This record gives sequence, structure tokens and C-alpha cells, in this order.
Amino acid sequence: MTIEVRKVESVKSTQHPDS
Amino acid sequence: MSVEARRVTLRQLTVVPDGDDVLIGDPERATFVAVPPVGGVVVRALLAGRTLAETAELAEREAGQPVDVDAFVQTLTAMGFVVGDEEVAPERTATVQHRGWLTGPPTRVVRPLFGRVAWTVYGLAAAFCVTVFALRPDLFPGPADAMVLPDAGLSLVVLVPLAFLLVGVHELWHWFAARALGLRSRFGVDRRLYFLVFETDLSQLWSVPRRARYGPQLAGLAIDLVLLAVFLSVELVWPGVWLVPGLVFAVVSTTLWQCMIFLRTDLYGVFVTATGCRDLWRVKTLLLRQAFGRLDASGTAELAAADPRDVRIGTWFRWLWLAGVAVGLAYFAVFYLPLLHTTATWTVAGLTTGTGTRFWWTLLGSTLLYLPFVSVTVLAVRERLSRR
Repeated sequence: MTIEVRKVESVKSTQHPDS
Repeated sequence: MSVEARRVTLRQLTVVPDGDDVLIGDPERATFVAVPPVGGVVVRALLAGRTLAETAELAEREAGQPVDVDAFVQTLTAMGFVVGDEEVAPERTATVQHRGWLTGPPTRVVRPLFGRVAWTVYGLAAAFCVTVFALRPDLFPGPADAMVLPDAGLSLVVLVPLAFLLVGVHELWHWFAARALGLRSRFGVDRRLYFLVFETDLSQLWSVPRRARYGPQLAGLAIDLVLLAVFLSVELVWPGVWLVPGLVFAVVSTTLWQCMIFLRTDLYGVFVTATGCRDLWRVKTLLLRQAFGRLDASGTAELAAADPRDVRIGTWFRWLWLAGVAVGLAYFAVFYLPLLHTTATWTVAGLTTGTGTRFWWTLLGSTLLYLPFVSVTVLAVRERLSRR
């Protein structure tokens, strides 16, 4: 059998300076 | 050396079970992949220095059938997981981002900020804010609260630096929470639609168990709600303190902004963690293209290999994203553009007829007002250019 490899997305924390 | 005795030296990879999968990755590079449990067995064996032959035997025992370890090692090599002589820099995740990782405060210094006691305080602060707004709806802020001075421009000059300061504290808390787990992060600047955002890359969270991933992603909101609880307390005890309603407005509006998970906010990350998704943002894009018949051959192949859970959730998340973006753009056209027009009139008047102080106030206020707008445009252009 072959081993399936799946990339995982980056984890980003954001904040928007409100104006 | 015989083929059987061959070894592969892996970089310092992390191996973490997660649901039915195992997450393996290189924290230094911020590259992580999900593999079935047998993949975890192979990586652990190679990390322990076993030969390829020994590893294949262990894998076969785990899977109950022969496993193609060579092909897997080739994939690991392509991912950059095998020791080579190349320079290692983390993959870029924001349009503007510094290249290296931030080390930052020692783990033992920041750990008390994210222990059981601390999270109890954060939870109580959240409950307090909700209770205050339920019992005193008059304290819920509106755009008028942003007028901390009679003049709109002067209000901006006062409030915008404070809003940036609040964002700084928010991101700082993400960074500290990651440090409390011994992880490193990095800061960047990017955009969400037409919103300028400051961003902390927390990708190293994939190297810790799922339970531990919630804290650092919720840390920014946690400190925001503590600040909000303080501001609301001031409003309750000493009504009419200057500037406080403006600060309440700033925190509440950014908290509501965080709820728009289709903009890939903090709560989107929490949603991905809770549902066990792997690459939802990309799968959502592929599914949307598929819905409109715009999926090419490579996209079709990519979607066929996607995680079934990503596909299941992406099937409805794509419509939430589309609706969210449509509403966001409509909001921009209906509210934001007229606002820019109004302020442009104010700017032109202040710069052409204003003398002395008024001229300089207008220049400063306009700079603060248009800077995010110009920055987002520059970021969008840079993205376009880097895609070519």
C-alpha cells in the first residue's frame, strides 16, 4: 500500500485595526 | 552498503496523533502534513535511526500488508523533511512578513498568563461583558461613540493610534500564548478583502495536540474581552469619562469582525481546529471553482486527493464564504466609499483653506485615515505581482 500525504494549511491569527 | 541497510536522516520532525491521522511536520519550516497512522510509524522509526528495511517491516506489521516506504520517503524528501545542506527558512504565509521566527519571552514567564486561573479570568471577563450588554443595552456602542471629539478628523487622530495599540496587544497575546507552549511565531501584515490586518503565524501549533491548539488561537480575543470588561466597568462606575466609549466601540467592532470566519479570522482557526479540518481554505476554493465549472485538470486531481472531511465541510462553507464576501463588498460600496468621499471633502477643504494648526491636523488625520486603505491596495498589487 502507499501512504497518502495531505498538506495542512497554515494557522494565522489576525486582528484588524478598526477605523 | 546494501539497500536494506540504508538509512534516511530526517530533520527534527514532530509527530502528533490527531483524530484518525497523524500530523508530521517541521516546525522550523512551518510545513506540516497529515498521514495515516502507518505514516507515523514510519517517521518515528526513521527518527529513531532504524534502517529502511527495519522500517518497512514495522510498517507492514502496523498495516497488515506491505507498505511502499520508498515512495513515502521520496515524498518526505520533496517536502524538505530530509536532512540536506540547503538553507532553512520558514515558508511565507503573509504578504509582508519577517523571515525568521521570534523567540521572545521565556516559556516560564508567560505560562501563568495561560494557566487554569488565567483562563478562568478570561471566561469571567467574557461573561461580564455579555451580562452588562444584556442588562444595559444603552452601553452597547455605535459609530457615534467613535466621535471622541467634536471634530471627526481630530477624533480619528486620537482613536486610530489607540486602535493600533489595541491590535498590538491582541497580537502580543497570541505570541505569548504560543510561547507558553514553547512554540515560536512570527508577525506579518496582510489584508482580508479590503481590511488591513496584522497577523501572527501560529503554524507551529500543528506540532502540539489538538487540545493545546485552542488557547493560542483564542488568546487575542481573551485579552480583548478583559480590556472591554475594564472599559465597561469604568462606564458603569464613572459614566461620562472621556474616550472610554470610543475604546468600547473599538473593541466591540473588532470582536464582531472576528466572528466573520469567512475572512479567515481567529475564530476560523478555532473552527478548523474543532472540526478537524486539514486544508479547508484551499478545498473551499476548489469546490467553489467546481460549482461554477471553472476547475481545471490539476484542480480536479487536487480535489480528488483532498481530505473527505474538508470536502464535506467545504461543500457548505464555500457558500458561507461567497455570501460573506458579497455582503462585505456591498458594505464597502454602500458605507465605506461614501465615507471616503465625505472625508475627502474634509481633507481637501482643510488642506486648501486651512491655516496653521488646522492644516497640520488635517494632514495628520488624513494620513491616518487613508493609510490602511493605501496599504491594502499596495498589498493587493504585491500579491498579484508575486503570483506571476
